[in-house]
Amino acid sequence: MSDDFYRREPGPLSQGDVVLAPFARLMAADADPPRGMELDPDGLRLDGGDLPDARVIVKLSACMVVSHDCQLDKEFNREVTRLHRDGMPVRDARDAAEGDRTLDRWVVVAPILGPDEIAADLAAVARGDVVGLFHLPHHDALGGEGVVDLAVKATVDRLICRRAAGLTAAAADLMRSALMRTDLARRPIGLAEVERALGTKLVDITVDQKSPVRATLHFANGEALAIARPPHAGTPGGTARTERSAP
Amino acid sequence: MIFWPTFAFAGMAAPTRTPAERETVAPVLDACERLYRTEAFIDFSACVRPHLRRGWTFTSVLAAVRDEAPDVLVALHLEIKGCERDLRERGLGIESRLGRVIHVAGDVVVISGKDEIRRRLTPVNVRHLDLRPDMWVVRERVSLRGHSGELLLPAVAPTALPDLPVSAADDDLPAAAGGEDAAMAEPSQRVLAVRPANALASNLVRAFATENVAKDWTSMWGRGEGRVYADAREAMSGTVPDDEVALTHRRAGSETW
Repeated sequence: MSDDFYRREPGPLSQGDVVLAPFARLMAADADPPRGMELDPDGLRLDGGDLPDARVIVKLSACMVVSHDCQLDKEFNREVTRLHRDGMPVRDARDAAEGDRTLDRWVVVAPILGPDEIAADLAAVARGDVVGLFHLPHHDALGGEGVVDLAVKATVDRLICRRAAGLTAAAADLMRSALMRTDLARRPIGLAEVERALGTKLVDITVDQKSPVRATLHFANGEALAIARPPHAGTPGGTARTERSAP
Repeated sequence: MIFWPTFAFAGMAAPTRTPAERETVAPVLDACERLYRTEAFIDFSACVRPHLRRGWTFTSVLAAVRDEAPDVLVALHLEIKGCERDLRERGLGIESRLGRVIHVAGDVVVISGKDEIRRRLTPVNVRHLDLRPDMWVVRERVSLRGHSGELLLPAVAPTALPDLPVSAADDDLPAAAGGEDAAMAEPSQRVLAVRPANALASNLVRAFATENVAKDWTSMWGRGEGRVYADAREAMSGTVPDDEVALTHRRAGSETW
């Protein structure tokens, strides 16, 4: 088990924590199940009304928390502030908010697959070369390596999850980068290309708090470059689905 | 359904130092005496007594009596309602609202009610209650000739006694069955077995079962100091007066908070 990757102290629930949770998917009731997924005969069938009927598939799954840390404590922070403004000392306000299990209940998680459940090469996933997948080294509780499928997510109630592990700050940064590549920008910023073009090393990047797509690159020669990087929308060309893909 | 009569609590809590105060409380004490002589109360006492063993709680006794003799609870409820009607005519005001405990923190109890999602209370008897999240409670506001106070009393779920008649005094209580609150009280009967998705999930299940994952890790709630604002943390250590704390909604050292 890697100490560089998994942290030793539990601390508060954080982005990147490994939990056990029921993971649900909704699928068309009358269609064949997705490839590689057996159909649970006991699955719940939902009356879709004007929409096609749906079926719920739920599996107990090892998952990774992908909600951002500030989202995990948003209502808690608001409640502490409210109670304190109402005159309660901060320590008591924190205790009261800590004890309120109605706060910050929704957690977004992504399922962790076994190495034999992915189509991609595990070594490539471990190098970070496969967009949408994030490699987890061996962890004793998991009993082996895992791969987080960042392209599939579900919202679960915190009350029905149990936590088993968490990432170090450095590993969590790697996961955030993989998550950003999956959801926002498929191509990482070509920092090496920028450095080569400008003939100087990049020493820092600061992000505009009000507008996260605006960032400033700081270079070793003292120059600073403000950039605005819109999320990548995909490359035109190649094979594409037709309008039939949205029935 | 009220476990203990509210007016009896009110009788015990009201001051009786002066003749005027004693005169005020007298009707309540009369009602208690009458109630304790009724057949319903004697039957109820007989049901309760075997359960008052060492370590008993309101919850445990309530659950036992509800399971063993629901008709006794109904009979007692009707007697209590009769006494309350008499007392109301003599100036005792009781407002009852059914709710469910969300959480308890010291003297503060947060409950959800029929028409309110969250309400913070500081009931006078909270120290004597074993309140836990999801318990049903009756919130009682008692007023008697200028005196008033709020009590919180353990109750059974409204669906637990479907034959209980709803009296005029129970207008605030939800319907016995089939209503929104009934749905809250009764878990769905449709249960879907959830199986592990893969070997990793099975290993995690096994790790939790054999306690190979430390309990500190399994908590999904502890926020720890890392999530307390820097200013607030200083205040807690006594370096900054509490009143001067500025809550910044930002974790120390984090630019993305």
